[in-house]
Amino acid sequence: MKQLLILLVISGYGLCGYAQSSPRPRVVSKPEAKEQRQAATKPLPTPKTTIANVKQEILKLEHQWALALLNEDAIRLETLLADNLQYTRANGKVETKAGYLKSIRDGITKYSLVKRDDIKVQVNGETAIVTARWKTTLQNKPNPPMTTTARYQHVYVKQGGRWLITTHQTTEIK
Amino acid sequence: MKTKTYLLSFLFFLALTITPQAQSNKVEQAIIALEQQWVDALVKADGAALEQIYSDQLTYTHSSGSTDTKAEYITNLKAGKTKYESLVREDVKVRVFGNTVLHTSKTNIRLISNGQPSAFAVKVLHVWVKEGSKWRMVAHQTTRLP
Repeated sequence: MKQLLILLVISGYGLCGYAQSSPRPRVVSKPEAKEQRQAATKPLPTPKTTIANVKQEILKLEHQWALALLNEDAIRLETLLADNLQYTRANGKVETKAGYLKSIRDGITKYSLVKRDDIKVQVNGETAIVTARWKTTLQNKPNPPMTTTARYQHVYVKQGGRWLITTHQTTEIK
Repeated sequence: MKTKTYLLSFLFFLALTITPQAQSNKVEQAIIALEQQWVDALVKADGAALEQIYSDQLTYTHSSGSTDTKAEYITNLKAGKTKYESLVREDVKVRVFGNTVLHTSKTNIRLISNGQPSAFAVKVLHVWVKEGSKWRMVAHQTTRLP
């Protein structure tokens, strides 16, 4: 009985570890291993149309995000940003979603110009990385409005079936 | 006998519950080790090591807002225009999202650029993606702290 239980514990633990570590290479036959090696040197196996679709979706969300900034639309922003957002401003200040939305809602942060270009989207499964350049006229009260050109980066993560901005970081171009 | 049975069942369920956490910790540890390799490679201007660490898709955004590709960055580092003396991390946060990991930190950098020494602090964002069986850095961005 005791031995049986020990066996159960060991095999249970082993099974559990296996299930959790799905990215770990499993034992494969030789031809299969060769295929996998070949696959590793090729681009991602996901069909191009899917990646293209995701890129389109992300670009649409980016456009909605820029519009929401200009319209001071905190309700729209709320749906675009992940709850675990980390928002790093050009001055290095890091804000949470709640803190950032409050500054928009209270009219402390106001955008009167948002112009983006050089937008690149990289898709990797359930995440997408956007790098772009943007020219903004931004007022952070009590400071006067300032027009700057910067690079920003967004990391989108698919959470509960929706693409959400998990990280934003801005670096001013000097 | 009964006590032993309970004890063993308890251990069995404990094993079931701690494993996902252990897996996530394993990824975190792997990324932290890679971040140290990245720091060492910068200080040693070790282009071969960076070749392994960076993805071919790398976008490298400097604190000046200029961007480099992988090839541009490695060529410039080897040319020795910028010599890193030290990079000290603090405030490190690692967030795991499946095959993507976000590593953010405050980093204190000492370097010599075109013969001029300087020291400053930046916010660093690193995005790591699993390509095949290897974690590679696909994005680097620094924002200067005042």
